[in-house]
Order: sequence, then C-alpha cells, then structure tokens
Amino acid sequence: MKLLNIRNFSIIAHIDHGKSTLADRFLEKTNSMPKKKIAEEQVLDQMDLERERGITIKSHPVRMYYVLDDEEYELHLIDTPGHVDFSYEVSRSLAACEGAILVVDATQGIEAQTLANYNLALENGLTLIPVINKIDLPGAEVERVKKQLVDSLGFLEEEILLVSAKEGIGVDELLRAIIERIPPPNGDINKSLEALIFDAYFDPYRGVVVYTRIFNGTVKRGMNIKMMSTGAVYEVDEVGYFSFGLHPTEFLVAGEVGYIIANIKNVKDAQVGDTITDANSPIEKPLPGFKRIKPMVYCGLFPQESNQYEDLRESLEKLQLNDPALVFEPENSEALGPGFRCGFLGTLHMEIVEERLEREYGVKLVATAPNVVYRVYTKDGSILEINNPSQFPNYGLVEKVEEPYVKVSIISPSEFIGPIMELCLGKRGTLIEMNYIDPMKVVFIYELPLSEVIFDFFDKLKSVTRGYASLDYEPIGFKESDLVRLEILVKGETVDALSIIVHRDEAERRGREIVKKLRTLIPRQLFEIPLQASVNGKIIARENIPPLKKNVLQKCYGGDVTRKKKLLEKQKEGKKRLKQIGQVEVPQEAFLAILKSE
Amino acid sequence: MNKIALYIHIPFCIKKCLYCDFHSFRFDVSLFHQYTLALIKELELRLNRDYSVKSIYLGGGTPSILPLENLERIVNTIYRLTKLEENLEFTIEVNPGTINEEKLMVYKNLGINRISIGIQSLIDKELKLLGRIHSSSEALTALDISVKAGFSNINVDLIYGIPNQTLESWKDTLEKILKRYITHLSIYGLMYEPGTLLYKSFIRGKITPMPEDLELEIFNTTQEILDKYGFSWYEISNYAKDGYECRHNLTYWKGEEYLGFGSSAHSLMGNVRYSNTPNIKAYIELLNRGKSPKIWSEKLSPFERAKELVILGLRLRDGISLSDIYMKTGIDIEEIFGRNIEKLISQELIYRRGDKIALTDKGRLLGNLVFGEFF
Repeated sequence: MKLLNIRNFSIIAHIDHGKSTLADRFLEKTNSMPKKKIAEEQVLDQMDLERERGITIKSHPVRMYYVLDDEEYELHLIDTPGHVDFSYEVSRSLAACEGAILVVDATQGIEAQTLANYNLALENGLTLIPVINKIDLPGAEVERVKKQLVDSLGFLEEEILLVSAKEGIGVDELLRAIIERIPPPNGDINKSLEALIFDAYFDPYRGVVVYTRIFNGTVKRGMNIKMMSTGAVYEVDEVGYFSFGLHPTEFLVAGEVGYIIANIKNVKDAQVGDTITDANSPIEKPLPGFKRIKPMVYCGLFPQESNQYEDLRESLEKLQLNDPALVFEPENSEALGPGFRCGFLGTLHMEIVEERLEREYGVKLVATAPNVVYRVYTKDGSILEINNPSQFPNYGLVEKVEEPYVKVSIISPSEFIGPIMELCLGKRGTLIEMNYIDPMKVVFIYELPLSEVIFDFFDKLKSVTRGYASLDYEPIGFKESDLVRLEILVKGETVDALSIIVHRDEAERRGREIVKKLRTLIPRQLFEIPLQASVNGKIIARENIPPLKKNVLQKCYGGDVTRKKKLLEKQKEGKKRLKQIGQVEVPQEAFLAILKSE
Repeated sequence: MNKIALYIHIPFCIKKCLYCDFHSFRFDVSLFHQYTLALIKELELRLNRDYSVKSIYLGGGTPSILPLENLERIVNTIYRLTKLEENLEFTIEVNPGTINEEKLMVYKNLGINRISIGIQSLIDKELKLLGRIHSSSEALTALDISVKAGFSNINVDLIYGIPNQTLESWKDTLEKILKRYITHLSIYGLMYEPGTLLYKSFIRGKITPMPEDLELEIFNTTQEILDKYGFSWYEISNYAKDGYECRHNLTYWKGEEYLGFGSSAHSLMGNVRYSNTPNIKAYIELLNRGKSPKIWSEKLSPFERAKELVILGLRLRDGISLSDIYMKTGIDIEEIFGRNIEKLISQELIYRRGDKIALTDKGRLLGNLVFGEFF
C-alpha cells in the first residue's frame, strides 16, 4: 500500500461517551470481521475485566480496508486505554497516529477526560476530528455541545460531525472525513529503521509481541533490531499486522502499524515509548517522549494464608511479564507476615492487579491502604524515597518532606461550584484556574497532593456533585509538605500495616476516625483492647474494645444439636479470616479501615 | 436392652411468643385430632418392647393445650407398646394460661411425675413484651395448684435480659418463685433469634437490648440467690436441688440415645441422628399412608461423635471425661485437641482434674469460645 493511502488514527473520548461502540461500527462498515462477533458489542475490549468495567486497559490496534471513491485505503485504528492511570500509554499510542477522532457525548458535553485527551492529542501534533455522538438519544443537546466545542476547544462549527454510533448514523461521513482530513503518514522506507513501541504483551509460546509504528525504514524477518533505551539487540522472528489476531507479512514499512516478534523474553525489554532501530545501521537519536514508567501508588499485598506466599510471588511474576508498570519487592510485615510491596500507575491499576491476582491466579489477598512515594530529606543530608509508611524515618531525623502533587481538572455543572471548592480546600488544594465552558458548565484547575486524590477524592467529588462532575489529573512533581507518620497501636503494639503518612493538621482527625472505625471492626476478645493513634510518640486518639464476657448458646436440647454444630462451623470459618497481631485477632477489613474517611 | 429417653412433640400454641423460633403452630381443633392419631401411628411404627424407657418428655409447643382424652390416648399407647424403667421420669411442659386443677389431677393419675412451667417472668410488663399469653398471677396460681395436685418435682422456666428489666424486677421474680415449692429452674438469657418477631423489633430499633453489664450483674446475683436456696447449677442454663437434675435432658448432654416422636422431633440411635418433617400437614399425611415421617438423617463418624460428646458434655458442670469419650468412640481427644485444651486452660475458660475437663465460671458464659476450639 502506498503511503498516501494509509491513515493512522485513534479514537479519544471521556469514559462512556461511546468510543468502543464507534470502533465496532468502523469494523462493521469496513467488513473487518464477521457480523456475529459485532453483536457481542465492543469487540476490541478483550479482557474480561475491561468488559466488566467498561474501560480499555490495553491497546487493541486493528487494520481495516475501506474503499472511497474507487480508491482503497488502509486504516489503522489504535484503540487507546481510557483512564488517567494509563495516560502515558495513551500519549504513546497517540504518537503512533497522525489524527484522532474526539468523541463527545451529546447528552453530556465536554468532560474532564475529553479535555485531557484533547490536550494530549494537541501535544502530539494530531489532526482532530470533532464528533458529537449519541445524537439519537432523547436527552441530546447537540447545539449546546457544538457551542462548547467551538468556544472551549476552538473547533469550527462546520468541522463537527454528528453521529450515532449505536444507530450507525453519520459513520460513512466520518470514514470519509478520516480519509480526507487526516494526513497520510510521511516517512522514507529507504532510511534506517525508526519505529515506536506503543504497547506490548507477553505470549507464553512466542515471547513478547511488540506493537509498533514504523516512522522510517523497513523491518522484516531475520533483521537485527536494537532497543535504543537499553541497547539490547534481537533478531526479528516475524512481523505482521493486527486484525483480530496476528497476520504475518513479509515486512512492515514506514507509515505502517503492526507487530514485531523477536524472541524477547520480558515485556520490560520492550518498553512503551522506546524506539526500535536497525542494529546494523542505528539512527542517532531516538523518537522524542520516552519515559521510564514510575509507579505512583504503592501498597502491600499479603497472602491471606502464609502458605500462599510462593503462589503470590509466581503470580506477580507472571503478571509482570505483561505489565511492566507493575513493580514489587518482598516486604515482611510484623502484622501480616511475608508479602510484597507493590507499585502501580494509580489506584485503578492497583485494583486491576489485585482483582486479577484473586480471580485469575486464585490467591486470596490482604491489601494494605495505598500510599504515594514520599521524598524525605534527612538531617544528615541524604534523600530517601519512601514508598512504605513504616519506613518513614523518626521525626527527629527529618529535615523536610516532599510529596507528589498533581494538576487536577474537574468539569462540573456550575451549580456545584461551592461544594467542589469546599472539597478541594479540605484536600489541601490550590485553585489555579476556573473557567466557564458554557454558562452551565465550569472547568476547574487545581493543584492537589496526589495522596489526597487517591484517598477518597473521586468518591467525595461524585457525592457532592451527584455524579455530574468528571475528573482528570496529571503529575506535576514534588512539593514540600508538613507530613507526619500516624501510627496505630493495638493493645500497646504498633501495627506497621496500619501506619499512614498524613498532613500534620489532619493527623488528629484521621487518628480519631481510624481508631473509632477499628473499634467496630475488631471483634471483642477475652481481654480489653486499647486502640491508640499516635504521632511522634504522642497519643492523639484512643478507644477501648471492652472484653467479651458473654457468648454462649443458652439452650441446647435434643433437636438443637445439629443447628448448634452449624453455628460452630460458621464461627470457625469467621475465625479463619482473622490475622493474629500479638494477642489480638484482627479481621482483614481492619487493614482497609484507613482507606476511607467519614 | 436399650435404655432410652422418649420425647413427644406437641407443636401447638395459642399464640407464638415473640422470642420463639421453635416449631409451633396455632392451635386448631381438627388438626389436633389428626395429629394425635398420626402420633399414635408413629409410636406404633417405631416403638417396641426391645426398648426400656427411662424418661418421657412431653414438650412443645404447649403440650398442656392438648385435650385430656388425646393426651390419655397418647400416653396409654406408649405404656402399651414399650417397657418402662422403674424410676421413670415423666415430664410435661405447661403454660400457665392453659392449665387447671382438673388437668393436673389427670396428669398425675396418668403417671406424669414432673411439671415444667413456662413462667418466664412475674412482671406483667415483661410478660407482655415477650408476648406471653398469661399474667403473673396466673403463673403463680399454676405453680400453687401443681403443688396442691401433689407434684413433688416442679421446674420453672425463667428469662432474664428482657428489655427494660431491672436487677430489682428480676430479684423480685426470682425470690417469689423460690419462696414456693420448686425443685428445678431453667434460666435463659433472652436471645434475639433471626426470624422471630422480637428480632425484627430489635433490628428496627424499636427495642433496646439489656446492656451487657446489667445482664452479667443479674447472672451473678442469680448465682448468689440460688445458693442461698440450695440450688446449684448442673448445666449452663439449668439449676436443681440435689437429686432433682432433669434425667431426660441429661440424656442429650451425655450423648445417650433418645427417640423423638411428632413433627420436627429428633432422634439419636447409636451413631445415627435423624429427624421428622417439621411440616405438620406432611407429618400427618405421611403417617396416614403408613410411611415414616423421617426426612433427614446423618451418620456420625467416630470423630464427629467424639466432638459432639465434647461440646454437649462441656455444658455440664461435671464436664467430660477424656477416657470415657475414648472408650465410646476410640477417639483420643487429647491427641487431636491437646493444644486447644492448653489454650483454653490458660484463658481460664476450662479447668482440668485428672482426665476430666469442665467449664470454669468464666467459661460458662463464654461457652461458644470453648466449644469452637473443638471444631
């Protein structure tokens, strides 16, 4: 296919604005797959979890052929992840394209991820096609959304396409626009190989399958390629393109999107954003934008039963083959025994990993509350990166502490301005900007500590705006904060897995909340259990769990024996889920008590 | 010769008490006669002269609802079919609202020698809260006429932990009872069983359970008062004057054999435990067709059996003998649960004398923690 007839594009949208349905329609219109598969809906979201949560985690590129005005075109659709945790992956997928369709729901208008994706696309220099989707719905406000796109994002009214992906309305016009408006890739097949890795997955039989966009040169079987970030060299085994599975071809050339298999054993060796070149005549400078992925959020994962420790390690290793963003190292908790300290891109990524470990690998987990990475400057001049509250140095040794901040954008109906400002203030936010998208809708830009955002910010935001606000954020580096370690003592013993890092002003309130919550979660035992919260050795909150004095089945006669045995069986099952901390038996829910505040 | 205990279930009540989760049904005359006939058929089907009966217990429900002619037929059927031990203990449960002197005289003449009266409280407000059908004065009358009828073995059921009950109101109830002639007391802390009306009121916040500290105070005061009157506890919820322990109920706690007749009645024979259908209509229907009303049974492994002997036997003040259990089942409890026993001793929930293990005073209130160690 000549370059002129190739189009590489992506669909970007806020969650639930109809991205996947639109992709299904493209597949249908271009006859790229059998009809009955389309009926299953959203065929590009393959993982069970993706389907259940209605989000895309991995990229799913697909090649389609489409004839317009007697000319055949090769369209590469790169479906991108749809969550803030994966914004780096999104930006690399976008870097593989020349254009993007920006989909906005006619009933919702511009939302936070519309804005975030729009900005990412602009940074990558893409041509954007604005689309208003779901125009068939009774609540559609096409004129209002059009005005938002014109006033806030600077589109021209005549550029905007009206579509109902569900009903197939406007899809042909959109395919025409893709071909007419998005520029064909440029590149030179005679130059040295210059290819971008925008995703990869591990296949147990074939090794890593690298998703790539070729910018210059050609790649084919037998050729030696080099990963520019590591210098590692591999011999290419197979190249090809995607169309519901892998389709081998002779070669991939400049302008094309496809895959490379080269006997790579670990996804870590094919990092997203890295550049692949010809090992025999390497280019000098890699493509811009490569970043080593750094975990933003950490938590401890422990097996519920200590004999599952090895299973957990193996499962994490297997997951990591496919998920280089997941990092882990052994952690030995006094309270929870041996386990792993794990790092994630964000809380969604964390939840996905936890769920997959339990669901796909059958490991029952106790997860501690997530935390961010803190930078601690000690008085002796060293700088520590702390990803575990229990490693936070003692007060006397700390010179200053920095924590990661994020730039948060919130889009909401204007009636909720007050509650949102109040919420952000309570979360230590600084208002940077507030603009009206239209008289009814407002966008806020705040700077907030990441720790506050991952804690329960989104839940609170949803509740104060009755679910109408949307949220997106991006990291903006570390800032100094007055942070302390809040410790929880159960019957006089500090429980490492219950420590958290909090702002000094918040310590007392959080301490009180946590011990109060623990009081309801820890069952009464034969002795009194004092629960204390302490900062720098000073007790700031205290509750007591009184001793259990009475627990006996009063009546047990001839007909009660069976029932009574069932009761005792149930009691035994409940006991299995308790972790022994010193003398005290603590249920697993207790370790999550510190997650949510009231 | 198999010495057994015999239980007859009369599943009818004038009105279900609010705390009750037992199988009992509103009283209905036609159902009543059919049930008596079915019961007689079941007795004929299962009872024979290979057994020697050491105790009979008419429980409910409310057996005292039963018209005397029905009761006579049932009792005479038992006498006709099987042999009786010489010192037979024969109990009937009565509700103060359904008893009179005539009935008691007939009971006496039928050979019934133990009366168990469900009094629960002598405070009318408390009786109302429990949904009892009788007043406190009716309760005392029931007690008085039982003595007058010549019964020398009398049990009274009482409940503590009733919402709004006070230490004083409890002491008042207890002392009034103890000043009369009784030989046995069953004292239960009120339980909120799921499925009962009381539980619903509790869940809806309409009633507040008694604070635990008061419940414990009542429990301890009860011990002191009963001591003074010569009663001692022999099972978690049961007290008796010396020699008046309920032999029928001891059968259950010692894991000995019993046969239960009537809807939902349970039996234990050898290592098999089984029960009848709880549905009265189905019970009658099955027996009309000459079929067994048994709907469930389980065969206990020696290990299951040993565990049952532990959790039932530990309810008794005398506790269990490890060698006795070993002889009965071949299971060495100490070998399997040695560490659990050590733990319970260190928690002061049980104590050990030679090969015997029993609950401490503390353990008596925390029985579930003790029993749970053997599961």
